[in-house]
Amino acid sequence: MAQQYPDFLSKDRPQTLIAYGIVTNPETIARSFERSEGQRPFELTNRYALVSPASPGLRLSSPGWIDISVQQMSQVRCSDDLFDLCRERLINRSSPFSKLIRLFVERYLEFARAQLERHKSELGAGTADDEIFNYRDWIFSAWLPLPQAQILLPAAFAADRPSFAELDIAFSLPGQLIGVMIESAGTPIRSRQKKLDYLAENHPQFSLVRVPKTRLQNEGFPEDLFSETFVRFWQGLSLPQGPCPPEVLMGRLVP
Amino acid sequence: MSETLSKNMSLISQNTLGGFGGVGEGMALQVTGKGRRILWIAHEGPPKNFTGVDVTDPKNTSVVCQTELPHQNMRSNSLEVTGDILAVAYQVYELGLEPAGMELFDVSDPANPKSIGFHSTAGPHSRGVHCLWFVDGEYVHMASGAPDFTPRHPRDDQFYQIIDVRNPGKLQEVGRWWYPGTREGDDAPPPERINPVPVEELRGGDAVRLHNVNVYPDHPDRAYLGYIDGGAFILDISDKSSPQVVSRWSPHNPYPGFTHTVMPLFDRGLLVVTDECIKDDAEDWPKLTWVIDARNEQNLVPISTLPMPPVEEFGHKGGRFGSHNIHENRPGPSFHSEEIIVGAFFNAGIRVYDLKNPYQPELIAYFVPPGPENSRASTIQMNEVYVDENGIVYAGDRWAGGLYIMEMDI
Repeated sequence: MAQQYPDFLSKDRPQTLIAYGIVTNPETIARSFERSEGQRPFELTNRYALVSPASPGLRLSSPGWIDISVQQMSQVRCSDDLFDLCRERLINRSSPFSKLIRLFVERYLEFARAQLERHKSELGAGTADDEIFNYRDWIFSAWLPLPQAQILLPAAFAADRPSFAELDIAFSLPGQLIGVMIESAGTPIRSRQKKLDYLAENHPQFSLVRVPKTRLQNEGFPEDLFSETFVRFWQGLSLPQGPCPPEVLMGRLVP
Repeated sequence: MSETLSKNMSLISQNTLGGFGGVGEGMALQVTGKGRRILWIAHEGPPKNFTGVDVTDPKNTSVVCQTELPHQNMRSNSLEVTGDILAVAYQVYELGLEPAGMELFDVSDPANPKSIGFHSTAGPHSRGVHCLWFVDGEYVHMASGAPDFTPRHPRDDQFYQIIDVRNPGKLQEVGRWWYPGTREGDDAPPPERINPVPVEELRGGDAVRLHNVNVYPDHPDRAYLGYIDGGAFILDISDKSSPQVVSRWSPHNPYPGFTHTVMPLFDRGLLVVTDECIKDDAEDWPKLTWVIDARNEQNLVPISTLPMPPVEEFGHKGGRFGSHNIHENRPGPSFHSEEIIVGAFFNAGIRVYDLKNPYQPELIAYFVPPGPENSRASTIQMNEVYVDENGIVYAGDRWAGGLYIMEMDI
């Protein structure tokens, strides 16, 4: 039934399944597609994302990932509270024993915030807290980091069972899939390397960014390793939006 | 056992070391200036001191050097090589004998090691050095007795000593630490004995002394100690002259003692701690390898153990069955992983675990060869393991099988 899995090499409907977070057995996610009737469109949940080349980029504001209750949302008083909630959720999506991945997420979110301070004059929103939009609200337009990402490989790689290429972090931008690997002293494990190589060689939208561990630890977020589109994440958007747009809240309130 | 048991591992070659195939707890790889790869191997006991094996071609290895001990009442169980300097541990079987201590050799010509320094730790209450760690070219960290150290219990003689070897002609101790209460005159009371055996049995398993100490150059202010029945210690050695205890963790008792190795996985906040099996026929089962949550190094929390094969299957096959040495992520031409753990488990062979989910370690490969000829045990007794930077696994049988070279398909 492997043909029912999302396949980024499919000619008629290329889709990429990205399991992320603390998912010990991503096969269970892949197998959920065996039971699906018809093609599933773009999806973002608290365990995976299903994207296609035409999908919107995944941002902190993208609905579906944060898994926030109405009660928690009601306690959010300002965008800083909401951002703190996002940060907490994202960090907790990676294993407590993945110190470097957690550090990357921390550094990335610090960087995203610093970007807004650096470029607030071009952000086209107010600076006072009592305005409808504050330039700091653009933080939710930052690209959503998917920690401990596992990308489903097509049956062409291994037909017998779902195989996944492992990334420390993935970002899905419009028409781009960015994988991040934090380089330390570790010796590559052959089977993992083979899957990663396959992904790098065959996924049409994939690019890999290798981040030296020491740079992350000593210098902060290595923005020079990322594209202009990545670092100026607000470009092309007209208004900032939070991660729980009203329709989501409404959807939860309606039985 | 007459057949090999394996999963995702295969034998490349075996070298019985010229008939002296009893391998101790020391294996270290030297890459010479000419690109030769020499694996230095410590022996379990006399008559051989150490052996150098050319493993440049792992399929066709050859002994290039094999040295003799000065007498039969001693052993050189442990060694390390850094660059072209080989450090060898000397332990005697009776208190007061010599030579006991640590010797340095220049092995730039692997066929002709030249002694360049010797540090004696012989004394009336000392057996010398059991294990040593030498990975930075500057300091040897070792478990040894000392001429000025009188233990309260004769088996508690080996404690932590730091030797400055930057000038091989003038080796000097720069720091020491012992478990409080083990030295005559300590204010602290003597430690609890876990499984007491008669005090006259110098080689008895009941001991509160140091076995392994690991210090990594990228974290030079920390030492990780396996203190046998004393458990695992983290020491702050930012001032080498005055090591301070950061934390201790011990499962003994109720577990049956003999903490051996404490290996940190720095990027993950984990420790891997082994308890050595020291008795045949599973008499001291279970001897486990523990996974410790060390994110808060002052509050060490055990979260899992590496799954072992069934005791009913392996416990009575002959020889020892349980944990012992692991590949220790040392610097140099060495495999380094924070997720893959390779260990020697005596008659359960070499076993490879994936620690990606440290709450549920997973066995992903193993290799259990048949018991070697001329062994005093009927089974393989994998005693030591080293993995090089290419993932080639070197392992040694305790009694006769010598060197086994394997590759992992993981």
